[in-house]
Amino acid sequence: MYRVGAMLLAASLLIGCSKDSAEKSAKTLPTKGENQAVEKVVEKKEQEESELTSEEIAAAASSAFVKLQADSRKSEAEFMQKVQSAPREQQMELFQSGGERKQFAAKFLEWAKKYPDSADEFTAIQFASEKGDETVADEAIKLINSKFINDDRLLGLLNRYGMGAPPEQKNEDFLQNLIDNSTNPAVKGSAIYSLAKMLQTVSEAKGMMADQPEMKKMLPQASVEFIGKDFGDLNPKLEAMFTDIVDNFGDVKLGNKVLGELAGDELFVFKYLSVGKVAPEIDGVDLDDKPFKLSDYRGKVVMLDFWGDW
Amino acid sequence: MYPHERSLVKQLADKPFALIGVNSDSDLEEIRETVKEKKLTWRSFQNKGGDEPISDKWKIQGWPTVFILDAEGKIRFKGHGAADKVIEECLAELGHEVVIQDAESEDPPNDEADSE
Repeated sequence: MYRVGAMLLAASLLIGCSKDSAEKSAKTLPTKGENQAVEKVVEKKEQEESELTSEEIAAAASSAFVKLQADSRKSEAEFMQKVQSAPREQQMELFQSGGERKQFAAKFLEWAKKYPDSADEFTAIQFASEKGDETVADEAIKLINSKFINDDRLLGLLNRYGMGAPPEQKNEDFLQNLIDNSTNPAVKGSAIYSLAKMLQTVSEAKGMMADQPEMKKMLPQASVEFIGKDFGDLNPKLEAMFTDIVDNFGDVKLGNKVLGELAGDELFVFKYLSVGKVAPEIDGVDLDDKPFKLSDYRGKVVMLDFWGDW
Repeated sequence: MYPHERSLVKQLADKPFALIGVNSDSDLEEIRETVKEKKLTWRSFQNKGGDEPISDKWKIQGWPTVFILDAEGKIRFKGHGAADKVIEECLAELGHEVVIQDAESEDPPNDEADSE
């Protein structure tokens, strides 16, 4: 069972989000039905672009984007299909290979640079920043940092980082920059939350990596390096970050919750459910409906196992 | 995922140790069957047996999650990873020196089973 846990953690580290938000993220790129009308204009794309009017350039940009997006989705769907139908023991490795995401990320970045300030610029850059290889992602992040740090659309990205961004130095740098420089409270609050969740993952993963060195092979090298860094005692830092969120960014939405609620839960965990605290009582019934309590077992070492047979 | 638990319960049968589950399955009948079939001898709370699901109150964010509580009820470990060392530590504090063996070596395939 621990191996299953490790796999789940590894998977969440890789994609940096829960299953829920992974499903959401698959739908993040907006459909652009309205662009079909302009496709005819795009036939002119072969001409010198300088001869095109700004409307025609916009149409060309939009059409190229729609095509890129459709191709990318198709490729992603085929890739996930392939992962799912692969033998179980090969799924992880195949999943890690990432299909053609990197190639598409490079294409999205190229598109964004070719058509600066287009309507879909942010979406394209975001894709490049999340899925690109190091060079592409770095360049995309620089573009975000120079143009979008106060943009509400960053929340989509941060939203998906709700479970914590993949623990890597560049993600910490990115989030820290937003925290330091964004004047948009929603962006700033979400960035603090993302960073806190990321550091929480680091703290958990440190322990797991010590116990199971083979985990290192399942994670990207950048994550292994970052997790291995000396962060000192993370708990007081995390508690301060969650307190900051509750006090100053409580109303910011994340998914269907607000940050105040999420960070409040985290603080509750610090107070009552973290290592060193006396566990709360459980007064419940067993699978045969007979009542019993956790405290019945005081005096014994107890392994409390939240499990399910699914 | 059960061999490890089964082995732990077996190895620590004469020690002050208890494995307690919090089961999150929605179909009670089905899980009762599973418990019988797979010989899961330890006791489990029904997650939704009370007013508020235990997993909500305990802010569980992923399954399986394991807590190790010492004899005083203090949380000594929380996570998804291996907790055997912490269990050993807690038992040692009660004067029981134990080295927990891996599930694999506890549940040998038939041809390797110890013959007395």
